Amino acid sequence: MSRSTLSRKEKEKVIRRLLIQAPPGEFVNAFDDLCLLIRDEKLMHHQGECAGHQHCQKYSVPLSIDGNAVLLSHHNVVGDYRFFDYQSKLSFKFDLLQNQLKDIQSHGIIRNETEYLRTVVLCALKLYVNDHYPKGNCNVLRKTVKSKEFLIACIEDHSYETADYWNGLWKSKWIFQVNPFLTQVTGRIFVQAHYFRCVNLHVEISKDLKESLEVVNQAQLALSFARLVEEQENKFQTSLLEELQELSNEALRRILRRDLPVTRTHIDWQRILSDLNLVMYPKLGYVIYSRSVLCNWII
Amino acid sequence: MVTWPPRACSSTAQERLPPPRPGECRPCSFRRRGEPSPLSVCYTSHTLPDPSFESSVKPGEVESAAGIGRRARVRGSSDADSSQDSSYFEGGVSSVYLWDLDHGFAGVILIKKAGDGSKKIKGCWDSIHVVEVQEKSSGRTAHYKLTSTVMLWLQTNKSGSGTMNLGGSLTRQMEKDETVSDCSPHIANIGRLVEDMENKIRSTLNEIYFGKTKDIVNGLRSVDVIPDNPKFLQLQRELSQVLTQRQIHIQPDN
Repeated sequence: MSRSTLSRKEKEKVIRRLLIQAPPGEFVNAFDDLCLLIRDEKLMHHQGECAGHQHCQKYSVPLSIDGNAVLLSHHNVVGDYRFFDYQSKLSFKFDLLQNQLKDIQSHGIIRNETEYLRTVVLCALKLYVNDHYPKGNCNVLRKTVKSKEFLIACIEDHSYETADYWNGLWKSKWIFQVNPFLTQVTGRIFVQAHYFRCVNLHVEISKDLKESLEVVNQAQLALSFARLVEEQENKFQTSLLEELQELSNEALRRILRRDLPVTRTHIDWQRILSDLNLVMYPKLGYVIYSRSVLCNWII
Repeated sequence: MVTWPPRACSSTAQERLPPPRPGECRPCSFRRRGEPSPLSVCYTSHTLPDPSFESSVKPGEVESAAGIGRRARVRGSSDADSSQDSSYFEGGVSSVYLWDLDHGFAGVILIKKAGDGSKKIKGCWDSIHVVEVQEKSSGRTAHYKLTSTVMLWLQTNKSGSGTMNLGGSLTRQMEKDETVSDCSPHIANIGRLVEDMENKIRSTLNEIYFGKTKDIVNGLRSVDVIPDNPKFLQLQRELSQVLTQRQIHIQPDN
């Protein structure tokens, strides 16, 4: 990059690109650091709003409205940086930097069969989340695509600014069409963490799933759905922990660097040096050697 | 805040480039233009050696020795005819650059090892060791300062655990006084320091990358049901309330 100043558009692009990369729970830190570098309040404010909106969607930032958890995602975006919530029937803007709701307006919700099913599924899901997530939140949304009704269940658990020097997020999303008899459930589980004690480590894990679900009635559907989510997420977490255990035994050693050489002892520097003398011309101060000589005594 | 692993490993020009072809040397900010590659036939110091220049260390000796010593630890890809495996890395690449200081010399050792990519695990180990050697006036001892940075990223793709990306870096420093003699010249001292440092860093990385990640995942979610969670009864009541409100079956689509 040349030393000349960037144009405003280029600056906006760079700022937005950097802010979007902020790990979950670190958006405000990233924003403050950039403000120190950029020193242009108006520019930063606008970019902060855009990037903050995307950050909220990407990491399912949870809010509490009237005691109910609301998870922000691209499924409840309503244009002009606004989100809406089914439970409270409100739409609003969320300022991530100030941690505040703004411009709150009422938002009409159609009360139909799917809306009722949504509330039943939400209750069942809350029970499941309470069982497995220490500080989890969940939300169920409704979407109509080409006159087909879909339910979207979002689950989130995070731990930010812990005393253990890590910021982490577990996010899962399960979508199914409201169908009689049988429906297909697609899920995506996403884990992201940043560990920063003595080391700077970033972890990102994601898994896509597909299962089918029988439909008898609303109560059964809600409970079976919650049970399916529980089974699949348990399976994923168990495989993940096993995989990490296997990696700690294999990966670094086999694939990248051994803990000891093949000889099972540390390198014998004396041997290297004694071989070195054969090809050295000490008085001249430099050495000429050929590759074949080199090959002979590489350990 | 760090960008994703492959891009994060570009703090020096070296890592941004693809792996060198056999016999090539890795260019990086440490090498001056016009210097021959230490991996090629002739090592020279960056100034021609003055025959009257005397020190306990002969510049050429240390450079060539350092280069050769490094190659003893890492099999460069130019060693196609060597049938023996190298010590720590199988098929890694390294470069060593040295320069003189007022009362000693300094150098950098660069090592890069990419996973073979044939299995379900991809990865890359990059280490940068910067060593500063201050010779004491007696010529019998020297003070070594080593700053090592290791950048490591791994990616796995398995059916059970999905796609996993781990990336990060670790920096450590150490200082040591060592005797310099015929049986313990600079090359052996530096070699031992770097070897010890890399071994320590490797075990720390192993513990943190996998052990800490396990702890974090378990901190976010529990496979076993969390006992005695107080909200349970309240949520159960909520569910039965909602269910008794309406009992209408879902109508099939028309």
